Amino acid sequence: MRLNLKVMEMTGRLLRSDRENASRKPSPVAPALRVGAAVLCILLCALSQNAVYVITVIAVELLRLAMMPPASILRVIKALILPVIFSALIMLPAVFLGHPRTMLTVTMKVLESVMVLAVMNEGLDWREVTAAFSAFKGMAVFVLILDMTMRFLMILGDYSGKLLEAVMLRSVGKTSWKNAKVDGILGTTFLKSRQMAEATEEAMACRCFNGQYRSYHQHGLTWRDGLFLGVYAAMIAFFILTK
Amino acid sequence: MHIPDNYLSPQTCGVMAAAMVPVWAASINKIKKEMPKAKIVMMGVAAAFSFLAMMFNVPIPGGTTGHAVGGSLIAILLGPYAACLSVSVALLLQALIFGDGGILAFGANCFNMAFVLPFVGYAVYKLIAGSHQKDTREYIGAGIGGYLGINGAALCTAIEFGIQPMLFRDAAGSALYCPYGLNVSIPAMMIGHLTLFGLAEVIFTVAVLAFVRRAAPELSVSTAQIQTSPPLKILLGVLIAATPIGLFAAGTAWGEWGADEIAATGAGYTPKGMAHGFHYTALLPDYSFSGLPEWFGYILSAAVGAALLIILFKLIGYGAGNRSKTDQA
Repeated sequence: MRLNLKVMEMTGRLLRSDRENASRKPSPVAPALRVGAAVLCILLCALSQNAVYVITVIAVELLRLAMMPPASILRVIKALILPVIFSALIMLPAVFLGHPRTMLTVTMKVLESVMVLAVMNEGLDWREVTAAFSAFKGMAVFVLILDMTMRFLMILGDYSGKLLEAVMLRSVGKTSWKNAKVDGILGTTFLKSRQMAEATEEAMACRCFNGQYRSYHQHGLTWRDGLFLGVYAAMIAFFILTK
Repeated sequence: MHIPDNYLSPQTCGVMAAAMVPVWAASINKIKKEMPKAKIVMMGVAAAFSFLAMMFNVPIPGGTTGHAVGGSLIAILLGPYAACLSVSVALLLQALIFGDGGILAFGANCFNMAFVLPFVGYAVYKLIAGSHQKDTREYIGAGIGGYLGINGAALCTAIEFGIQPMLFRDAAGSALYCPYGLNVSIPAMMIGHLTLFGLAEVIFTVAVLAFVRRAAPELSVSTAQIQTSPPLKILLGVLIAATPIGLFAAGTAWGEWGADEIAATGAGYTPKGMAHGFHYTALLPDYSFSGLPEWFGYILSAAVGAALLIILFKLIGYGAGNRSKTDQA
């Protein structure tokens, strides 16, 4: 039951994201560059030996977050709470062993990493993120899997929702169907997913689609992208300076 | 003007906090009833401006420093009740995270800077400017309002300091808390505020008001959709980047010394209440990060403080908007 609700929640989020992004202008900077910048930022923070780099990134991300709409801010904060609390709890023994700074450093790095990704996620549509990965060489399989996952999440979520509804309609009296039928629903959904996977494979073969996506919106490098490359340079220079 | 802990007796702090409770309640009530939810976001931006204004320290001869508060500006733009809440939240953040102003003295600091300052400033502004907007009369009203507002707040602070040795003494006759009486505290506080700090408040109020009236007129209009406009973002960014200017002012503001410094300021001893009083260690004391150059720590503190204030008020506005939608449904 809980699993099904989670799937429905995910489906709802995708639909809401589609609706919200329908009227939004595409990102002025190539999404691949933005994803790359986020990855580089997280990598440099992980490599940094002191807190200066991490605190600076947190301050910048907080400023970016402050300029976002309140609904986005709330989503980012929700995404932050659990990992930060979890990492703080995991690192709590370090305080008792006499290394409180270690706990602070690790928690701050987790906060920074999740915040960078969550803020990036708010600025990019999930399709743009998928397209960004396709810009990197050798990522075609990854993009195909990611895209299929997103699509099948919606299809299978809808399917399992209907199954659950059917089970509810047929249940009579006080039965413990909530627990007893979850395995049945999941099993049927799994069998259905196998059928769908085979059908998809056949459909791909019929349409001569080998899994390599071709982008119809060729995003050549613009002057904005050139300026954004300066962010890469600034991040690396600041990392070296503060090392 | 930020009174640290142990300069005022716990009794004085309690009275000042109790005096602020009805002011906060009235302000919250007024905001709930009269302010559009979208405009609550602007309270966060205003609080961020006030926070940044307080980081620009101005030195005066004699080794002390002071700063503008920006309370009158917020009162002119959003009303005195909104200014009261905005400055209160900015002061709370300063006290909790940056150790600027005491935790026990929070009520007293709010009384001076979040109540007296904006309400006096706004009353004088209204008296002079009337309904004139984007007019020389408005700017004159704003300037005089800002000047009298900050001086009213400074006078209240001086009185709070000055009555301590009259009311709280030990058996030997030594002051338990602030050792300076009214004859010292009033001139010490007022000389700086009647001259340079007052001028700093006038410049800050008039300059930002003129900029906002020109670049973001929606700030003072009751529109349903108010965003953080690009000119305001730029102004905020410039202020954050310029905060290290406040570090050029060497010395500590009058009445903001540490317990270890007070004896050397002329008092000759450390009052018992200060030596053994309440002590709170802030997360980032004095707007600094250990291991970071002072100027860089100052910029980061400004960025973190301003961002947190905007985020907080945006979320409050969002929550209030959702609640009113639910109520209507």
